[in-house]
Amino acid sequence: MTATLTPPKPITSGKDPRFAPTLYAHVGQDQSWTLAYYRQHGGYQAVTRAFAIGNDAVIDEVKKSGLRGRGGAGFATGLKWSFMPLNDGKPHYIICNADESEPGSFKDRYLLSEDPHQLIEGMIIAAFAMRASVGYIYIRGEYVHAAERIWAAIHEARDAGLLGQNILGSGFDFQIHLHRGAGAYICGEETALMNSLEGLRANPRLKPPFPAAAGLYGLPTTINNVETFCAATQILKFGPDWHAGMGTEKSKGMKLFQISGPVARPGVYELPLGTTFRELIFDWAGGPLEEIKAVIPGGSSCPMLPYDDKTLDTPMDYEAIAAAGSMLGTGGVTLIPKADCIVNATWNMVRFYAHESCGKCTPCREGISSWMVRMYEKQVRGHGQPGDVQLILDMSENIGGRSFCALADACLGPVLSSIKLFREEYDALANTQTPLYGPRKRWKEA
Amino acid sequence: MKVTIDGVQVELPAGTSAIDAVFHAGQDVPFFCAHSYLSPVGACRMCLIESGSPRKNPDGSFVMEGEGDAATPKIFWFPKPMASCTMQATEGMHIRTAATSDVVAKAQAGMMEFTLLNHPLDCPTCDKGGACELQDRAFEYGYGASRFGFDRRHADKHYPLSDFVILDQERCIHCKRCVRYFEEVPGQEVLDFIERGGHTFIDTEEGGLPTGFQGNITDICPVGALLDNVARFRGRNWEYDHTPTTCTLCPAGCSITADARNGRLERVVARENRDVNEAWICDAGRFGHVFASEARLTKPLIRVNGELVETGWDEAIAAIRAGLGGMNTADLALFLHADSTLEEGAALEALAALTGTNSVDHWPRYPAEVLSNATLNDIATADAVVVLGADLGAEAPIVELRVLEMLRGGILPPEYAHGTAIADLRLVERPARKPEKLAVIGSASRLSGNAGTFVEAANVDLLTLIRPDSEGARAALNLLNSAKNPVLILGADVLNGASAGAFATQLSDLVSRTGAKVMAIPAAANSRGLAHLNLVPRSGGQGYAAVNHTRAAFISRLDPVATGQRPSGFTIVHDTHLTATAQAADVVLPAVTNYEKRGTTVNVEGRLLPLQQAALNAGEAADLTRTLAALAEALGLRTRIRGLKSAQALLQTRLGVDVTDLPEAGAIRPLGPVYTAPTGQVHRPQLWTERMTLKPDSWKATWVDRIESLVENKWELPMAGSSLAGGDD
Amino acid sequence: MTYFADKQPLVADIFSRYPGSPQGRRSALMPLLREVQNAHGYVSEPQMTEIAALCGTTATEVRSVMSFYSTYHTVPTGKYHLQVCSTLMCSLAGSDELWDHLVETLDVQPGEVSPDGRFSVQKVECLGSCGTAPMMQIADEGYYENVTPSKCARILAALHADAPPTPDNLVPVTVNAEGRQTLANGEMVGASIGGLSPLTGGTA
Ligand SMILES: Cc1cc2nc3c(=O)[nH]c(=O)nc-3n(C[C@H](O)[C@H](O)[C@H](O)COP(=O)(O)O)c2cc1C
Ligand code: SF4
Ligand code: FES
Repeated sequence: MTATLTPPKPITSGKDPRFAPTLYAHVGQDQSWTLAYYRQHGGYQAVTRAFAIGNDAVIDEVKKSGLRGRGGAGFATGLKWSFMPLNDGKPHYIICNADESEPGSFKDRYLLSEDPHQLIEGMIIAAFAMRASVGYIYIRGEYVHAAERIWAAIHEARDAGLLGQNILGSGFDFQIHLHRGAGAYICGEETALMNSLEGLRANPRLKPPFPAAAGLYGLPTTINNVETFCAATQILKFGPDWHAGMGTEKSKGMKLFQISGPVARPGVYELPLGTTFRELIFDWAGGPLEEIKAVIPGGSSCPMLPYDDKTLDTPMDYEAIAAAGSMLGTGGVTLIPKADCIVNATWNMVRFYAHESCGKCTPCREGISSWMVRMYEKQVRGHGQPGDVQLILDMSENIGGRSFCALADACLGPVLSSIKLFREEYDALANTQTPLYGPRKRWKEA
Repeated sequence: MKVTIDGVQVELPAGTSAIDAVFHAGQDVPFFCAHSYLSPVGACRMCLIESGSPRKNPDGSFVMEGEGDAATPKIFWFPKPMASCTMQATEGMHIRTAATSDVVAKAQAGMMEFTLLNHPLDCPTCDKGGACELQDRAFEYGYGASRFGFDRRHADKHYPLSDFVILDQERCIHCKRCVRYFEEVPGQEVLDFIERGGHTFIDTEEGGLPTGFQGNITDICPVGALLDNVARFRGRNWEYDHTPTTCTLCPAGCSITADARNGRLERVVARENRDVNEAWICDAGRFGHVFASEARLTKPLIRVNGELVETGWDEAIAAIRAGLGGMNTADLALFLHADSTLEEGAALEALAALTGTNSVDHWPRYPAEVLSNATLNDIATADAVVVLGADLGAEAPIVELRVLEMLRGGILPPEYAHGTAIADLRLVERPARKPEKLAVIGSASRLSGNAGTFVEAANVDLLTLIRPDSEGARAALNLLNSAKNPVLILGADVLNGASAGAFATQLSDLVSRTGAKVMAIPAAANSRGLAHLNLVPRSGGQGYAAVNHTRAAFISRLDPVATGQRPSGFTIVHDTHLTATAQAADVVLPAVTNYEKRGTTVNVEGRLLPLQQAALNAGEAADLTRTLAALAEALGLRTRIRGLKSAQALLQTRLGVDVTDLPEAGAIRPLGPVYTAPTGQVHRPQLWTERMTLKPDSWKATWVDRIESLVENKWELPMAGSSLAGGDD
Repeated sequence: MTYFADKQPLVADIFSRYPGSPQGRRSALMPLLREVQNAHGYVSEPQMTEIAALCGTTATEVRSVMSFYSTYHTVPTGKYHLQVCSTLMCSLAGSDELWDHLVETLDVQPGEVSPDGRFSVQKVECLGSCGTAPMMQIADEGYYENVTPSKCARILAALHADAPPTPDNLVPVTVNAEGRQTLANGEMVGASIGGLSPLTGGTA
């Protein structure tokens, strides 16, 4: 029972034939969301194994696997789990962050709707490891279909004795509840999420205390992304070495990369960390449909990179993208066409962050939500003035690193990178009020 | 713990916040959202500093910098400026403020620019001008100009949150102090942010803020967004005479500042007193001052042909002499209000000795005097409180706030060189409350809604607790028994029935069994102080209850006619207004209010607190001490007490205290034995009285009822129409 | 009658998901709001007060929390509340034009309901459908993805006929039993079926 299963046949990548998709292995299959299907395909064996090896061993395996959080920050998951107090006699919580709101990210939605049991299994494993008795899945309010699938899956699991008292005879009790958000990007930030779950305004909380010490309802809590929990299921299924054998030195395992923008086959691709942008864009996504000038590597808050050979040959892992001046983030890659005005595109993102600012702290509420967005509006409406770009840069300096949470910094990702890469487009708008790339028709038949 | 700020090393207790470390070291950072008595939240981001700490090697030694003996622990600086209000200072930490760091100076100037971004430029017409934290800090830390260049946010500038508090939504800088105040202090979720991001504004959905403690938000708003509607447009801050004094509307004795202009009392604001009211006062204390400047008596009145006519003091003295002609001075009963100062009480006691009258009384008071040994800080830090027969909201509202403070943990912020901690990191947003630590027995009140145990009972006495005959009362007794530092609070419903002997025995029994400290709420502001003077009817004399049987009476600031007792003989009334009693009097002498007095009052804890004189226009009005000197003259007696100084000297011999030597925050001093006597009537505490009439003529009849109903029904406060008179700001 | 008066089992079920403490009770705030909104399309003031009482808080808090989120409405919405994603990836695929088209042809502005009561529109932020942009969501019913001009016309026609089409649930790329990544139409993709495509654009 404790032996790890034989990993699936290594196929798919033309570059490196050792890797096989597991997280998305069943996404899109008929009935993949049902317990029957899941069981037929080896489901709930990982949790059985977890119960057999014991909770501390589970944390050790996750540590050994090298798994890092897939929600954006890339914090080592096993280490995070080990922060939870061991025998403090208090109830512990785990929360699945299914708020997926970072523009350009859409991997979790399919995991939730197509393979909900994989997530539930991962959460049982995590709860077991961290001695949690209740788990919440905080799903963004707009994911109605996914919420229904999760809802149904929770009930199936309860009925099958996979949730509730004495799960699979292990003596371990655990319950999962679904909590739906209602449209606020900030709820992805873990402390804001906890406030939202408590029925409060979703403002981020002070840290310390960190969630592992005082989280939901003031009790020890650990929050992980959907993909992180799913990866934990696979790690417990195939063993830490299998997972650690994939990816690069510090970025282990498979990652769900998403690609959007003008490419032949936009979508989600499960690839090993360290796969290059070139392979994702050309080999998997079928290549760009038009001339591209910039790549957003991991969701809109990650600074954009120039579309050139250097970027294309950059391996998509935490370290290499950081070295290139950006972040892996959620792995949501977006291509920005050459013919689109970069200021306009950036305005769209700034507008997003301005709309999503929670309003708690001054630099974000006033700097981003009131001022920055209007500076951009001014440019794209053709009212730019010389000096505007310099002002945007100086404002950014006064915002960056001064805000309460990372949302304001997230907005500066596209701002600063686009100015750095495409200053001439900004200058053209500020000085001549005319964009280098004017409006064009974008709404077309496929 | 050693912390170095801008090169200055200071020693600090563990747990100190970085912002307090900075101020303790004599340095400065601007801040808006932090407040001593509220949880630090780090929202305004003005208090940025640079900080760094030493690091330890794996072997526990410090990572060093420099060579040999000159080596010092290497400081690892945080890569970005940090909000000092939410950061804990740690051993060996180094902090740089704008004084030594260009990064911090730039960060603060930039933050100031953001803060002012949507702030209207209406300082010239803003009531907060001259006392505005934003205005001051903008001067010190701002760029001096905004580069914004767009239209500022436009919003409602005259939005009433209640009859008392008006909101200017444009001025709000979202520091969240007001929202946190309501949640954390009175524990009411009645005000919060609406919308998010740049559209965020504050509002209430309760039909108006509840009366009780709402006015405090006007004190803590760092800008002119929340303003006292009673004082609105009455004056600029630099035009006011600010008089630090003590509120005597109830026995809590809160420290206040009375702001007067052109001889009118226009505003009352809270003043910090760590032992008494912390930083808060109740709405009655803040808004109920209007009587002091409306329809005041400024000259003596005498009755001529049945009519009261204005006259001078000499004529009034003559009229008294004529009216009392042939009467024994011992037949003149002397009655005074129990919020009179110790000095006034001593003067009256001395006069009574001269006249030989046995009919002396002060009102309101209870038949027995229970001297509390619990302080307000004892209540806040107690682990159990039982309230018996009290409606604290009407008897001593600040006691209610201190009980609520106990429920949320009773954390008293520490003190540093600069005063109370600016950011006490132990205070948290939405603190967990422990209602199980509070039991209330008596009528339903605002506080009973917060109690884990509430026994609704119309008639309560100590036996209710001593011999509990209900589940709830047993629980309350249990609470007292099992707690380490319990406090028992007694109110009017118990104290009215406190006959001297049995009550004391029962109470000492209860105290010795439970170890509880006791706080008995006195009937009036200075009942507790005056009890130490012989101001009760002596044998053969008549008490205040018998005012309608006296042959002649001198009545200072009491209005028996209003409660259905008509003095029968020759009546001299000393009052601030032409009360019903004054209207029926033979001679009326103008009195000053307690805002215009110097003297000493004793609060519920036995704390001696100073009154100072605000510059109000009161014509020829005089305090009781000087009035009694005039009365003595009319009676042909020579009294030694002719004013404040002689009264204070008398207090020194009478009570053994030097009231001229009190610290500003007051002090608890032993005052010796007390004098008690039956009262013959029941005292029903009522905080808002007719005297607080906002507009004497039109509102008189309804105002008190209105306030009473507001206080009772907590939430329902009809809002004034949006067409409130407003200036052009 | 108040909204939840005859829905005790539902209310009890919602409360059962959270701890029995006052804090836990408050957690029911969003689920309760969601129930009312699902039934009425918006939440009125009396219902805010009702929810406040259920959660042990005040109407102020309910309004404060409600106004924080973008999908709760305080005014009635149309029978079909069209939410168009306007964030970058959809915008690159033409969502701005889609929006203009909707506002024009339905003759309705945000915050309004079309005269026939059918339509209201709202611009929303990234709904996690960037791979199938542009997209819109109809109320809580589901996603409509790859909304081309012709697809838009079909959807609107169906809605006018009060026969809303089944929402899409397009899985853009899947993996088949052999572990090959394929498109929904079965077309094989990925490195194993061909060599690297040549760079287009770029500065190589
Ligand atoms: C503004 C902001 C938005 C975020 N949004 C999300 C999100 O939508 N989904 C997510 O999983 N993590 C999000 N995060 C990251 C979470 O705070 C947290 O780090 C993550 O859920 C931890 O899970 P992981 O360790 O599994 O990555 C966000 C963070 C910030 C600052
Ligand atoms: S940066 Fe500030 S205003 Fe923005 S979301 Fe974070 S806390 Fe809220
Ligand atoms: S952030 Fe406001 S005082 Fe520190």
